[in-house]
Amino acid sequence: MEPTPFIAVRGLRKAYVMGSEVVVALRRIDLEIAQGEICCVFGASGSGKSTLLNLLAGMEPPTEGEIVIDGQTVTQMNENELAAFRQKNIGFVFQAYNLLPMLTATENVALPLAFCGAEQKRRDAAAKAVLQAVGLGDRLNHYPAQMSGGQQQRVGIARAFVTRPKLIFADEPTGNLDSRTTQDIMKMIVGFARKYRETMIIVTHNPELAGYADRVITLKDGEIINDQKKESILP
Amino acid sequence: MNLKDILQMCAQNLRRRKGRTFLSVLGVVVGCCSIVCMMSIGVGMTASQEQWISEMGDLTAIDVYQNYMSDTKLDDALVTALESTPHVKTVAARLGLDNADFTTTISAGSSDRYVVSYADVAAYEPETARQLGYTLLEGKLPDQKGTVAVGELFEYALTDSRRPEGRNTVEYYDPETGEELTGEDRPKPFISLTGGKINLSVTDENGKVIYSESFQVVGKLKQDYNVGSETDAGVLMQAEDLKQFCFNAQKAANIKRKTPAYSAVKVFADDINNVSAVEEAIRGMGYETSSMESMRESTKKEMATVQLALGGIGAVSLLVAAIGIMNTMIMSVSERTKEIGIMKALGCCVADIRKLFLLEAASIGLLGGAVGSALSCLISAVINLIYLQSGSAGEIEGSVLSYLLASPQRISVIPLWLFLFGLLFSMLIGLVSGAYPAGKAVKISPLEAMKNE
Repeated sequence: MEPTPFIAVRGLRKAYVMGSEVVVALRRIDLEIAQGEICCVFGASGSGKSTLLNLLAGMEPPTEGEIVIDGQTVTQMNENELAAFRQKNIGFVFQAYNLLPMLTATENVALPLAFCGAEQKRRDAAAKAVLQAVGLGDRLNHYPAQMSGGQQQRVGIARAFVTRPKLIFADEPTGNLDSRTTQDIMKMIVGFARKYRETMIIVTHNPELAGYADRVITLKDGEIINDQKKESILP
Repeated sequence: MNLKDILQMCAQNLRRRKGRTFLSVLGVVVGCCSIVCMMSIGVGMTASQEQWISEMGDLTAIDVYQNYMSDTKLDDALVTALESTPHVKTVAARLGLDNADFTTTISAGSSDRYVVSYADVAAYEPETARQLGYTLLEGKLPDQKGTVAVGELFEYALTDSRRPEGRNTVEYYDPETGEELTGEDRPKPFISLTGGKINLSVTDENGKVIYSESFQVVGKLKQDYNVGSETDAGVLMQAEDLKQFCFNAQKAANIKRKTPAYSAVKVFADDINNVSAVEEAIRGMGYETSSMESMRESTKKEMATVQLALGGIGAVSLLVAAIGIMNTMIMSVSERTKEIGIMKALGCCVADIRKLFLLEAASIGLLGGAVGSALSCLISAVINLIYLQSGSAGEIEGSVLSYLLASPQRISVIPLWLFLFGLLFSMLIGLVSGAYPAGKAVKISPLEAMKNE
């Protein structure tokens, strides 16, 4: 029996109205992603990959179509439900790290837990544990400005994983990093995802990153032109 | 997010932009100071008005008069009725010799050398006398049979019957300026009645003494017309003594014996705010009343208007401060667009973001209000200091305004409610001016987090 997919996307379409012109970002996407799959959405800029990520994360509504994640229809939620949904189920790794500058590494990592209303003691302990796991045990009270790009992104990863979400979105996670750091970071993200059996969607235009995924979905002009599953190459 | 986290975050954000926070707070401080100081002057004026009125008489006192149109009398039945009227604290029924149908004189000294032909004689029940608020210069109130207290200037009312006209009195005022002499400057009277006696005598139409009674002077009253004219140059005695004296006098003069009528009835309300209700009740019994209430009522209204006008002037600067807060918060929101987007992407709910910005604005208001209110107390003290110095220079008498200017009273008064009002109103202003920027913040899309500059 075919298991219910963790993510099911049906007939997804997104068009933007820009002045008198209609720009179609996503033509028609049908997609199923299984629980625990590490998926790379690959494409050049303008292919619609970022739009797909935004729609999946419920950050903007599609023009047409439906997205169901873990049995919940994201496309029918209102703003508050979406916030709660992201809080509980989704972790984000951003290209520009997006750490809050006035918070320390620990506070940044603990932030998603604060949104859930967790007690300071408990969330600080959780944040410290994750920071230690990403190798920043000695940077707990540093501010983002006092850390290198690679360190900041590791804080970002810690923040994405601290709530143990079922789904991780990584938007060009190594776009601002050199190739050596890229390898460390990718190994770390993928390692975490596999360890906790979390589903991950990596959006990138860097073919190097595709090598870390179980499945590579290639987008061009708002359509899937290639969907390739492969044996995992990493433990 | 729980409140503690939001507060913490709000404090962090305010600290991050110290300069701007300081300037916004400063705006509120100025606004708060202007409104509190303006209103404090209003409060001060109201207080001095109140004092001015109260110096003219006790504000809770109501004088009860006979209504000559109806058949009402100032008698014991009235006193009983008044005592059972709600909100009446004390009923002071005054017995006197004004309505007596015989003539009395008061004399003192050996062989009645010093005489006063007319003096205010007032008699109360001992209990009532205690409640009337007499101030004693020396001794005590009459508390035993045959004892009296005399008014402050009673001794100066005595004329020496052995000296010629024009030199038979000692004046307590300067004969040239007419100014009252006090303390050491005041000349000694012919006779000191401290520990002495006075004689109350009844004379017939030929001036012959037909009856006399002697009273021990046990106290001297401080002059205070609010309490009664007997404090000036009169005599205060016990109701029982006076009644007995009257009966004896009537007997000696061969007049029909009758209980003397009350010369005046005064009622004290338990609270200044119940005066009109008590007056209403007494009028309902068919008597006339008078009190300071109507005057107080009109000045109260007048003062409320003044206070409103002063507060309004102050409010303008607080309005400017409110615009300042709004400006600061809008700047802050647009500066933090990305941050807000990130927070939303990470699952911060809309309500928390709104709270965050509202709280930030309210904190600026509260901070400004706290400093402003505290500073206002200081400014108020300085105003009063300057005012006191200038006030002692020129003394004008006559109008209310000149009285206010001449009285050594504080012109600016900040009661606790005004302090708290300054504090909370400033916070409210912050909250209100934070509403629009907070609304803007709430509308920011989580997509802002995805943008890469």
